Amino acid sequence: MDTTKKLIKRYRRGNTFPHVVAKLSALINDDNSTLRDFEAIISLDPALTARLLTLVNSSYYGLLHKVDSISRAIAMLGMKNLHNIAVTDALKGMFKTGKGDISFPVDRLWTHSAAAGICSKMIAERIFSINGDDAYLTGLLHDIGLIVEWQGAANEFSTVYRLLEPNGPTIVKLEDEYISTNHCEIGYLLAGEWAISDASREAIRDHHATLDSISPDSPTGVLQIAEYILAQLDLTLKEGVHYHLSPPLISHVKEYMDEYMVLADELPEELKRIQELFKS
Amino acid sequence: MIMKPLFADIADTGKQSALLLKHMEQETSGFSFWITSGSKGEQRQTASKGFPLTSNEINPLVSKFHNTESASEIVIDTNHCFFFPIPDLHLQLFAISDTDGFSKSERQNISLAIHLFLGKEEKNRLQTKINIQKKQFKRRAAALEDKFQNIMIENEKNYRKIQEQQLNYSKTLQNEIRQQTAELRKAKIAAESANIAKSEFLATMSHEIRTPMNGIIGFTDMLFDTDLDQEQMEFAGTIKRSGEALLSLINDILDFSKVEAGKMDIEHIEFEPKVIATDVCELIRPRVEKLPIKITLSIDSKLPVKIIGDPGRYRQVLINLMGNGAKFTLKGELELAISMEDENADSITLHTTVRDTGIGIARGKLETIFEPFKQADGSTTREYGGTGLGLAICRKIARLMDGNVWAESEPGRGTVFHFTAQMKKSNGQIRESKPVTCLTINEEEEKAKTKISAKILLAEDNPVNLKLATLILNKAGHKVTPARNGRQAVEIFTAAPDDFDLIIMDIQMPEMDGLEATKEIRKSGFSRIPIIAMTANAMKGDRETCITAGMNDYISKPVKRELVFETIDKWMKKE
Repeated sequence: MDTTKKLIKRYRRGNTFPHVVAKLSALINDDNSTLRDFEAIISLDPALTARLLTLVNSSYYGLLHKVDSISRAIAMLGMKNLHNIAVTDALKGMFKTGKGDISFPVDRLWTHSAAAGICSKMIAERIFSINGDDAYLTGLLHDIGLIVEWQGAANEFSTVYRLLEPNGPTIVKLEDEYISTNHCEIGYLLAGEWAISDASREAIRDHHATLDSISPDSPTGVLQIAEYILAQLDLTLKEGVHYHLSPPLISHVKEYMDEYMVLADELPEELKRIQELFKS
Repeated sequence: MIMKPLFADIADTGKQSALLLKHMEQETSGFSFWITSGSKGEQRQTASKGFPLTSNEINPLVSKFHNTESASEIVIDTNHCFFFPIPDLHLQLFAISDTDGFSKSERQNISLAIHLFLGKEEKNRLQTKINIQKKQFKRRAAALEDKFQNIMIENEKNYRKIQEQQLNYSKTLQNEIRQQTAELRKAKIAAESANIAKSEFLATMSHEIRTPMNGIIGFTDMLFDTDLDQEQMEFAGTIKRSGEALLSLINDILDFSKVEAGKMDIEHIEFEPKVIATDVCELIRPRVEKLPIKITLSIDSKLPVKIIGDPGRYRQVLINLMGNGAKFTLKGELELAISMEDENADSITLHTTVRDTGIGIARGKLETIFEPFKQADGSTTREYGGTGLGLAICRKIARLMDGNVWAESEPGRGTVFHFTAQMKKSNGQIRESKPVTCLTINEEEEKAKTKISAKILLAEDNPVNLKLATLILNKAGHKVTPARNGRQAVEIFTAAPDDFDLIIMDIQMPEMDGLEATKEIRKSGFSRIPIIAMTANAMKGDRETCITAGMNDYISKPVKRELVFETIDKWMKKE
């Protein structure tokens, strides 16, 4: 745990997860907040306001009328949705501010994160018919701990990444050995600071755990299934690396095999659209 | 390269092998089949009943043809075996004929049967996919519908909360406004009563100060008529000048507070501006007598001789402006000019200018000088004296006359003061035929030579003033009977009304004041006896009050001898 905190501290010294986004997270969980509060905070960052409005008005959201204010955007898309857009935007920025270390393909991690977000959302909406906004956020943030390790313990992390092989030890095992913590723990802690909901944080903590009892439609269940599908499509951190699904989820996926086939089939197209959206 | 199938690690491929086997047995006859599925190392087999080869015999073949993509014939012992790869399903099919060898058509039959199966499978797959897509679409639509509902609820909640916040805000605002209004109202009442108190104080003070001033100035005048040596003359002169300066200061302050209190009224009576202008020039002249200054007066030929306005106030402004010019000019010219700027059916705009060749005023100070107690420069008061109220009063008076007072100046070369005022036209007016320029105005008008000796009843409670007035009037040949208050005056007069030609009455007196006494006298039927008020009351409406009480005329204190004589003469002649 000490290493975890140390790494986060070291990371924070060089990088800041935009203050605005953390404040927005707090507002999302506050029952008394209104879209005015939301707008007031976003307006503090004119560049973010402009980016959000551009995103909201892109063809991806297919709104009928042009949205020219944050409050209107919230009225059209909901606070959660707008929060997700803001977090994605912030995260994209964090991936950009890497040190340019070629031993770790940060683009691949970005694609993996975006894909995990999209895939989680698709699973939530298409299989379980539940709101996919939380699932998207969880998927997007699940590997944020890797960025912290990469920037806070570059050498050790390079070793971990180098040793990560298709049939070798899992990434968590390697991290525990070389860095004395792992990205699941780091992500869990960091997400707590950003006021991310407990269920989402737990999913981030447990996304590599083999659980004997897990409900497929829980945030953790959805995230694990998404990770599994991404491994099938080779949208992983490193080519050929396997993902070990918890046993109850294996039977669930077997049962709904055809459904997941169709979903996996359509994932690349969705991913392309979201990547297109956040390209600039 | 053959793509690894999705979910191959957990998928149950045996099911498909069994389906294919069943299909092949149905569609063909005379063959038995062996089907392997899965990737190398973890293969599973499905075979027709009575397939002649054992696993040990077929496994090497499976390994051998693992990556083979075309069909081929193999002979094992006596058995003719045929290999068909089915890459689409990741399956391998081995067929053995019950008879010897395969004919071309038999091979074709098996191949067709496989294609048929693939077609069916593809059809099933697509059918399933479409069904699943439909199902997923429905679920997604339901989730989105739900989300939409939530957004609607969220928006409504937002709307309600914002409304609530606004309501609270406006309530707070209203309360604040209410509170502030109450405070302001309180402050206003306090300020108003303070202002009333101030005005009353000023009125009282002016009365209280004027009364002794009357004594000082009057007796100084009297002093001049006695035998004085040079030094005494100078002392008396100083007393008189100081008294007059003090009086003018009091008048200024009083005027200013009257305007401030909104108690200054503008009269509308007929007067001749030219006469006033001449008077003013004459009044100023002694002040510059010893300096090389030429006083000139010019009057617009178009100006009517008589107009209707407030001659007193008009005169006051002119005296102020001219006095101001005289104060700041050491040599050169002091010009008073009156022109008519505008004229319509019943009114005219009088434009009066006072031009001097004095020290001038800096551009930045041209407005400051009109602010009360402000002069162009802090040192001005020390050097030139004055209260700094004169110009402020002038402007206020001009505003009351729907006009203005302003200045133009060039420092070192002089100043021009402009004074505009709206005046009413007089009926039957005559216009001056030619412009009048009076360089010297010393045509002392011959006063009425005939002296009238009057019997005067003088009511005055202040012994100094009583003594002064008696002295003055006696000197002028009048006979004076004193009364110490209103009651005494009424008693003395009613006892012997024929003994008196005229009554001069102070207003403020103990026991019975002048107004009360006048009412008494008039009530007793003496309507013809002229009663002249003499008072230090200088506030608004004094004249009206006196006239209403039944008095005939009004002299303001401190009294000037000439004015008293004039007034007495006026009423005696009327008699």
